[in-house]
Amino acid sequence: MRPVFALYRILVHLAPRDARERFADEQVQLFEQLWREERPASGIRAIAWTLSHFWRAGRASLAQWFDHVFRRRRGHGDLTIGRAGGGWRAPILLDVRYAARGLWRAPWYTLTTIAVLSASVALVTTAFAVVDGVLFKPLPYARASELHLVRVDITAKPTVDPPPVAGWDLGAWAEALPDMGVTGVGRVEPYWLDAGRGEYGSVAVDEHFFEVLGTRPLIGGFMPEDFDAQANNPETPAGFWRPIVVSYAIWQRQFGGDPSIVGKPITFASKDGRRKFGFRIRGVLPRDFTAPLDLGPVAPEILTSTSAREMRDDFNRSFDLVVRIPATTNVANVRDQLLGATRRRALAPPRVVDPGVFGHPSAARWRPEFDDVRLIPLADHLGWRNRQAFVLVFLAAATLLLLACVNVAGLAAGRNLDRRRELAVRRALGASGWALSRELLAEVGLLAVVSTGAALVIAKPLLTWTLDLLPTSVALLKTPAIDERVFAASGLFALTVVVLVVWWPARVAHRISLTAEFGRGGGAMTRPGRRSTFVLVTAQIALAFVLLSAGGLTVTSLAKTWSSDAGYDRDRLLVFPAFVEGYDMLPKGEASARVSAFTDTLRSVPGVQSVTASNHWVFRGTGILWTEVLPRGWSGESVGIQSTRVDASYFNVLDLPVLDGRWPQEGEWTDTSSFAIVSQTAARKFWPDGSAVGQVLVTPQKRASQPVTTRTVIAVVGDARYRSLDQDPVSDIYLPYAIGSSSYGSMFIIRTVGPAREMLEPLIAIATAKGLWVEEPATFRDKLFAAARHRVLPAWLFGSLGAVALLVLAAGILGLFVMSIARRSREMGIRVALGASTQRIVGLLIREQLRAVWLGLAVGAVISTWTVRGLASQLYGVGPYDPVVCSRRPRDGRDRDTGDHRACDARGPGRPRRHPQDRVALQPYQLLFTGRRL
Amino acid sequence: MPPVPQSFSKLPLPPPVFLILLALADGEEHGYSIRQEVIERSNGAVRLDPGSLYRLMARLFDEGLVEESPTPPAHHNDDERRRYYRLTARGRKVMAAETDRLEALVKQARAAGAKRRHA
Repeated sequence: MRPVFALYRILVHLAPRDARERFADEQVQLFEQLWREERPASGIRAIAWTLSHFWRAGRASLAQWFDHVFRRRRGHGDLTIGRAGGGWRAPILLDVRYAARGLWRAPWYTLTTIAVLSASVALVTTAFAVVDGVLFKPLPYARASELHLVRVDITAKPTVDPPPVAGWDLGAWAEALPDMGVTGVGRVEPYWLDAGRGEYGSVAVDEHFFEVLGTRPLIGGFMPEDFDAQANNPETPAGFWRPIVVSYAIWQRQFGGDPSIVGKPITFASKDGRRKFGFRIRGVLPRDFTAPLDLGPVAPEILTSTSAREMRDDFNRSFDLVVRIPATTNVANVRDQLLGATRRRALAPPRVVDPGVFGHPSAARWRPEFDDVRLIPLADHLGWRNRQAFVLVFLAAATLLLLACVNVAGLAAGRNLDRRRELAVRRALGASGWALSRELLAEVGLLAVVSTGAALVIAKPLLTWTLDLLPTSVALLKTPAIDERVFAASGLFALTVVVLVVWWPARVAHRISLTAEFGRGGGAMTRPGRRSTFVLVTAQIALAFVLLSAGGLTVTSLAKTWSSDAGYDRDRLLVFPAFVEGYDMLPKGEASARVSAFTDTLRSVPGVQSVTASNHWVFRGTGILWTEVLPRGWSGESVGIQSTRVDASYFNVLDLPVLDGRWPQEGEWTDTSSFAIVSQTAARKFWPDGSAVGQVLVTPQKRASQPVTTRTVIAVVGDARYRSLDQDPVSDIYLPYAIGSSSYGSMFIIRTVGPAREMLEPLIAIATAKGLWVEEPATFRDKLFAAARHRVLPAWLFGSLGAVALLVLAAGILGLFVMSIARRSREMGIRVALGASTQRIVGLLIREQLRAVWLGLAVGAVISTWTVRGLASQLYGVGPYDPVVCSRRPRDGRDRDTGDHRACDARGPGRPRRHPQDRVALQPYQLLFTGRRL
Repeated sequence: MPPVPQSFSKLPLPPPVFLILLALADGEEHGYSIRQEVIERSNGAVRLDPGSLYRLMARLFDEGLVEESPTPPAHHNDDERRRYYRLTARGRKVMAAETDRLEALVKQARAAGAKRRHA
């Protein structure tokens, strides 16, 4: 038999059995006959003819199932001329009309149910929109499971986020895998549309990039000549406008989706706006394209071109390799090949770099420092930073939806019980259990549809709010939006609601019988009814407890983070990095003079109390710490140690207390002096058994001929947190520095008289007028908030889920309570007649519900002990099993005046002065609702 | 969405159904010849693909309007998979009722057209 006939037979056999047995063979025979007689000879028309018949055969087979399900048993009655329509839609429309009428007549029930469902579905939809890119969305590559990222590691010091490698390593690996698709991806500095505005990540790709990934640009694409070295050399006319492929978002935002975008120029700038880069657009990436590298907060949206040969000749450690390993190949074997190539390169003589590159030969630097290679599936790599948190969020949202479903199921079951007489009579008149369930289905379906519509309306601003709170460290594989995937997910949630909600009430409806109903006489609650209520209340309380505990823990964690002692007054300090414009073009000493003059100007500005500076970024984020000096004879780790050069007034401006030793005297703290001051943490780390004062710090010798510089510790100061409030202070070593000694600028720190934020704009204007440009000025408070942002989102999400869970629980329990009381009206009447007082009856009802409450709390506590373990990594200052989730009051601080803060406590050195605590009130709700700034 | 499963015991009949009944009015026919007759009677306007044809035949069977002929006609010497069908009494009744209805409609249409010409 021809394959086409066999395929047609398969489609015909999709029909129900009776139709299949009766007609299948003949239908296939007819098709064969028409194939011979009517099909066009060849070409597109023949294919279209065949496909058309396939389509109709499949459709007819499936349609016969509808006939089969909704077929009426028709007798041989009289012919009638009537409406030739309705069919199976008529009873469903009737049910929907009846349901709508019933809901209209029960407004409180309807509004409560819609409110509960829409709030829950909105939260779940929002959570889905955020996590979709990380958890659910398939990668936009062909056979994505074959793609792997090559990462390196050092066996002795494994790291979570390994660094990129040199281009030379790419070359060695590519040679080790001659038969596999490999492509290099180079990390490039981001570009900005304007100074500090509109940041776009960028990566460099080679000519194999799209082929290995199995995807193509949506429009255009790189040409072979774009990978020529001259195409990217800005010195040449061809390379002045470098070829790039941009993201779909850039195409839409900057070019309005112009279909003739290929060839158009675009200019980006450096972060400070001082350097401009010209590009010519070669193509546009597909809408859901994701770069195969998780580089953190800024997803790459610009692809530049670099030839594979040029990449593999590059010594810079800024490359990653993506490999496509066919499904039939053993990944372990590929890893062994890569490892072998790595070890061979480690044993080979180091390559000598041109001395002109860094002024002196440093060949030893270009030997690979890693000794292990890993192959990470791309699906695991992308989004790895936040996957766990997103799973937790989505599970919490799904729990809320389940709670809402249980809640509504109880309300619907209760409503059914209220209508039980009506339902019993209808059963007696011939309505089947299925007919009653169909009406219930129509009612719940209508509620679900309306709630989902309302939820989608609510979800849009909710999503915007959530995205505002998203920390900058969160990388998403796709822009969260209410798109078709989210619509589909909402539909699925609505369907889930209907299925979960209908099940219980349908069961109740099926059990209703006329005899039992009129025999009972009504007005009393049966034992099964009470049991159902008990189970519903217990289940709801347990689920709500889980969500409330998660919300309470994350909100408390945020509060504890924000109330942590930073070591300085975060409200009155500004970080103000200022640099002289065109400092490299100025005569020698001119830039330093400008910096000194600017410093004097700053000190004279009204509202500025004092000014200091350091040579280093104060807020270092997650950058690697580094120190110039270490204690003499120190053999411990140099991890967690940071040395910073600071001006003499630094400690005064930050109000760091001296805990041991003395302040430097006049003239002692200059950039040539041999003193040092260490933090309390550093003192404990280096000299745990004695005083740090008088100890010696030395510069580690890299070569025997290098002179050794020594410094003597003269004081120990209090710790200050420069990275984040939820990270322990590092071991800080402060070395002397003089403002104006640098040739280009300084990292100024300014203490203001009033709130620091008010002084930001005036000071920026002054700096600009003096010929300096300022890079990312901010208040200390804003910097600390930015570092704590990653705790705001979990607190917001889990907190709002917990709050909604509480509302849903309250509405549900109240509804069940009222309905159960209404059903027991006869029983209550008899009790009153027998002499029970109102108080006793109320006490009885409350006691009955309390049993369910206690059981629900117990079950919820047991479940929570398991679920909150997953939250442990998201918490700070509170453990997952803390029984009392509350916040500490900050200690009272003494009033700050404008006196000299450098003096030691009057009680003398060695007696730590009471450190004025930050008197910020605990206002986590402000953090939750004000988004970016406080 | 599949077509509404209309009962063929209620008039008016869908045109393809009426044409099938007409094709069977003259005697037993198999699927191919039914199809050819439908095309001929409708001047090519109604061309039933095998899927649609046999779906309608299945429903005609369920409604009791059509049945399979137990003994194929004398000239049956073709593919053994072919089945022959004929109208049942009920099927004839339905076809006759639809014919009467259409006849009445045509009369009314003609009368309305004549009135307009004379108006």
